Amino acid sequence: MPIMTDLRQTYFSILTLFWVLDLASGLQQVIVTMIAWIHGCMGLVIWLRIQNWWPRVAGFIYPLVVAIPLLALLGMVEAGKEVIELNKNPKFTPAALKILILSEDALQTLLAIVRAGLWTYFALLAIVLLARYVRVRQGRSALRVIYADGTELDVATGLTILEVSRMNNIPHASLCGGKESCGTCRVRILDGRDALPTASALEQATLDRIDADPETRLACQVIPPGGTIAIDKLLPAYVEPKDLRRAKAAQARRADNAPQAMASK
Amino acid sequence: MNIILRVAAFLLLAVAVAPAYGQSPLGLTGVMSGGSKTDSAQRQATDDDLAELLRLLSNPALVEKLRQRSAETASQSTDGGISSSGVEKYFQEILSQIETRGSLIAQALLTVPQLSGALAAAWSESMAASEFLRSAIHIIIFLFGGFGLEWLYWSYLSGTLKRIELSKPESYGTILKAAMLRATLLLGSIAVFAFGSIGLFVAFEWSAFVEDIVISLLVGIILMRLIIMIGVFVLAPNVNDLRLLPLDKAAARNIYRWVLAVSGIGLLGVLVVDTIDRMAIAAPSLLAVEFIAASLVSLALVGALWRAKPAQHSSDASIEITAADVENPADETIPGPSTPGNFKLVLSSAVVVVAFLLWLADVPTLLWTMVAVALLIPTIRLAHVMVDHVFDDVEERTPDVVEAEDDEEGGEDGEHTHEPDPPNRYKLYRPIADRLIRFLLVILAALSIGAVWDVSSILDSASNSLAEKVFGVIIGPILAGAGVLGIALGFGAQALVKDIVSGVFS
Repeated sequence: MPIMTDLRQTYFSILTLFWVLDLASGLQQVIVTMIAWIHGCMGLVIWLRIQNWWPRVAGFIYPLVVAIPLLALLGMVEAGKEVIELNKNPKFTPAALKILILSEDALQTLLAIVRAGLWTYFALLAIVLLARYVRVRQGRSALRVIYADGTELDVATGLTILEVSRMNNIPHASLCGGKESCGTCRVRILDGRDALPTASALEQATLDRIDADPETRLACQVIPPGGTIAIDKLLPAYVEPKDLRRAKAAQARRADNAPQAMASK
Repeated sequence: MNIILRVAAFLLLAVAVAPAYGQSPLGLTGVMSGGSKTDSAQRQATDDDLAELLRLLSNPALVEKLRQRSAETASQSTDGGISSSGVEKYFQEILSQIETRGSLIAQALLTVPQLSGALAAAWSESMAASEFLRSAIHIIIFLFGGFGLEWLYWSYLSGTLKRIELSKPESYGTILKAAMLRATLLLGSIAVFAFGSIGLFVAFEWSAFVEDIVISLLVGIILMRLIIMIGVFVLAPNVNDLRLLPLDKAAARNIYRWVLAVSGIGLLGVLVVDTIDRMAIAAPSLLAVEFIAASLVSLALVGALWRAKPAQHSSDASIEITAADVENPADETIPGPSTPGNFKLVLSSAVVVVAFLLWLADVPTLLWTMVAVALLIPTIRLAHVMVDHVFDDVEERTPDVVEAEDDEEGGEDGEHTHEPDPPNRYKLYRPIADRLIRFLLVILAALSIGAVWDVSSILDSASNSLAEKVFGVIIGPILAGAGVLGIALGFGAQALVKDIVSGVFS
């Protein structure tokens, strides 16, 4: 950037831009900071919380997740105050204005690039949403999902069991967010097992790792083709990372109860 | 039944709208800030004296004050105290007031076409664009802080909440404990949010105008979150087992949505009116905005009454709903809303319309009296249904639990041998809870009516210090409420003791 435009950006010039010359870009900066931070943290937490050591350190890391961006933003506000004061002194303003040394052509080109990028982004986003809508809609044959507690849902096919649960507000554990790595969404297929597609290698690996019996599948991977399927969620929806170690024991207990659940229906 | 369920929506709405509306008749800010602003406002108008007079007249608090003062002098000159002539005079004044008010509103409606221009001008006059953007940055940051703190709170406690929500408690003690804990957790999250956002809000520097607006924005957000919390707590749109009303999921969700929509419209309307009130703007325009906001809120209320359709189950059938609501309740819905249901719908819509007309006439005392009375009956029935539903639920869940709640009756083991059979105990508590709640609600309504009629006189009494006004308003009802609560609890406990004793010796 400095080479192309012969521009030296300092914190002072940037802050002047944000707080004095172009407040809209300052607002944009704040919002983008927040979005980027939240998005990054979501990814990190979903990845980290299924690690063995995470429960021990989580309590100390969570406060940082809030404190770091907040302190940064407060620092920006505080620096902004100083910059506003300094810019009231007329001799500082020309220095700050150096930011805008760009030829009109270059500025227009830059803006055109930005606009093209934004439109491409929105178009891609629309395509993704449209594709998802089609996927949800296109399931012709109806699917009936029966949960172990007696809840019955009639839905269109095309979604995984986990997605069916979520879209119908049925609490369903899923610590990794549906990436077949944690195994917390595991369900025992009580009925309709034969119609299901076989497990992929990765799903099978996870199932093996958690010592699942052959009737157990990962709800985030199974897309039932239709008909009726009866399932039993093996872990409670409030499962926490620290519970994972005890998951095996819980599974064994549920295995004893399962026949009773079948009988009581 | 039909009505009761609608009333659930109505009650929540009332909670939402009441504090909002309350600001205009009771708020001192209108008088205090209004006076100072008229000086700077609207100097360019040719008939600005008239505009100022209109503005002053359109201020309900001021009109109230004038009216009170004239009533005071009148009563002093005759004999003092409330005589029959005083009451007569009061209504005469109201009538004349309605007349002036009518012409004011007619005038205000004429300004509607130029409204957007006037608003834009007043807005740009009140706040420069750069200041608006700077304030927007600050607002976003303090909201981020509030939500961040709340996220932190939930990252430690969401597991606990889910555990409570998804476990099935099986006795009074555990149900009560779970409900209290759940309410505490939900309230705690809002408190944490309020703490974080208000803390940061105080840390920033604001200009006076912006500060007022931001404060009402903040209060609005927190109020809305409280309404959402109450809605979730009572209606539980997602979890059947937590619902306090005998509704199926679709009905609960429908009512919940309507409650949110109407509360949102109400709060937004109040926020907008409040903001515009603080800007330098001509009285007719302000009145026009108020008129539009009030009609929108009334429309939304009527819409909610008619459209928030609950399933047509009688309270007896409510037990089956939780067990299996596979059947489409639509079959029962068609014959359901027969004449009585529609009649009550029409009646409650009429109440809304009358409330709107009373607002138009600017008689807050009558308006609030009517609202309190009109809300009382449905509220009592709603409470009755809630109590019934909760007790039904417990009885269903605990078919033959004999032990596990010894703690409630003290440690005397011999007691159980005297009792006829354990489920009877629930039948014993049910009317007590019912009566206690009904009693409290009636007292609450009486208190609020009393407050409505008293507050204006307290505000206008000789004392002008703000503290006295504030405390005069707040402390009086609170003390009275505390006293009444004590009495009510005493009565309740008396009935409880009596019933237990008679249960023991029968």
